Amino acid sequence: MRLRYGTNRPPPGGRGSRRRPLVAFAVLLTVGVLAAGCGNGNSGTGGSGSGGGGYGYGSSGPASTSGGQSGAATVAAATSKLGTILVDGSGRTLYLFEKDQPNQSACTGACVAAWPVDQSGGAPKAGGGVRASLLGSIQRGDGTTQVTYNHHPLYYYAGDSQAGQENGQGINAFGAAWYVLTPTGTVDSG
Amino acid sequence: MAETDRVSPWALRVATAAALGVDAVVHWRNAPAYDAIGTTLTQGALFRAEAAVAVVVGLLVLIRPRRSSWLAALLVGASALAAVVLYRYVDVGSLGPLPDMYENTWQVPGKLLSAWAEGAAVVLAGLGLLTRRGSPRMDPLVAVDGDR
Repeated sequence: MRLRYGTNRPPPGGRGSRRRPLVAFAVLLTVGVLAAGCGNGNSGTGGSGSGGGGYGYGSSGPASTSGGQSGAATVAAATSKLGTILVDGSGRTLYLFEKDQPNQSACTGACVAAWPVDQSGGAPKAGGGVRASLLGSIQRGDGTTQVTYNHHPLYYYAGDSQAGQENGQGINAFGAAWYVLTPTGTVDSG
Repeated sequence: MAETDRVSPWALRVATAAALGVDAVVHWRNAPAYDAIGTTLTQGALFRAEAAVAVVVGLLVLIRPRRSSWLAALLVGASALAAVVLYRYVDVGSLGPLPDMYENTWQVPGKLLSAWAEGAAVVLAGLGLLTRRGSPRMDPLVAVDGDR
């Protein structure tokens, strides 16, 4: 018997070639899923008022996330299913971040993309039902001004697309929970 | 035959590396927002480590698509996917040196995309492992056909 080194390459039409369509299909499916994810994975998230995040965010979600630097923001009280809570001038729900220290925001970068800050272009204004004495503002690291209430920096939630929604209530993200506030400036964990 | 043999594994390697790349980019970019979570080992550090490992394994799959590389890709994808799903739905608190990474939302930049990419990496790496089972390799001495 003569011996040589050989290979175990499968013959044409064998197991290897039968597997090829499966592999090609899986690759195409993956590319499709990733492409869809790029387009839709971040839907419902809003634009950051201060430049956080930046990939896939900002094209949808809340039409206006803050009073912006062009004008003073308004904070008012509104009745919701959670009780009477703080909202902005257009009725959009405002939140506090439990990780924040008094007058100091712990939310930056990707956090700000998911929780856009309530910015103000000047001293914030008190709307109906809130105490003007509890309103304030802080300067953020990027130079923008963020509205505070009872020393809590205020945020929107990118998952809220319109006034009256409180989808961010009780969410635990970026190391702590997020809650709406009552007009007394306390957590409404309702 | 030889040419078509190379086409699918090549696409498979690129797709797997791309999936791991998406995972790496999302973790790397989100890491700063998680630096304050944890003490000795922060969540931000874990995110950076995940990104680095995903890049290295993605390159391994591209450059040296051996069985061990596919296995590493499968493990990286599966562990990352298991972690993101676990911490999304279960508040397990701190585990030894691991910080409390509970986060009951998908509304974090890139989080959902990264989870999809990790799932894709698992499927693709599994297929990669299958292709290695039938790949050419030198065998020990075998009888030459027709020479018995």
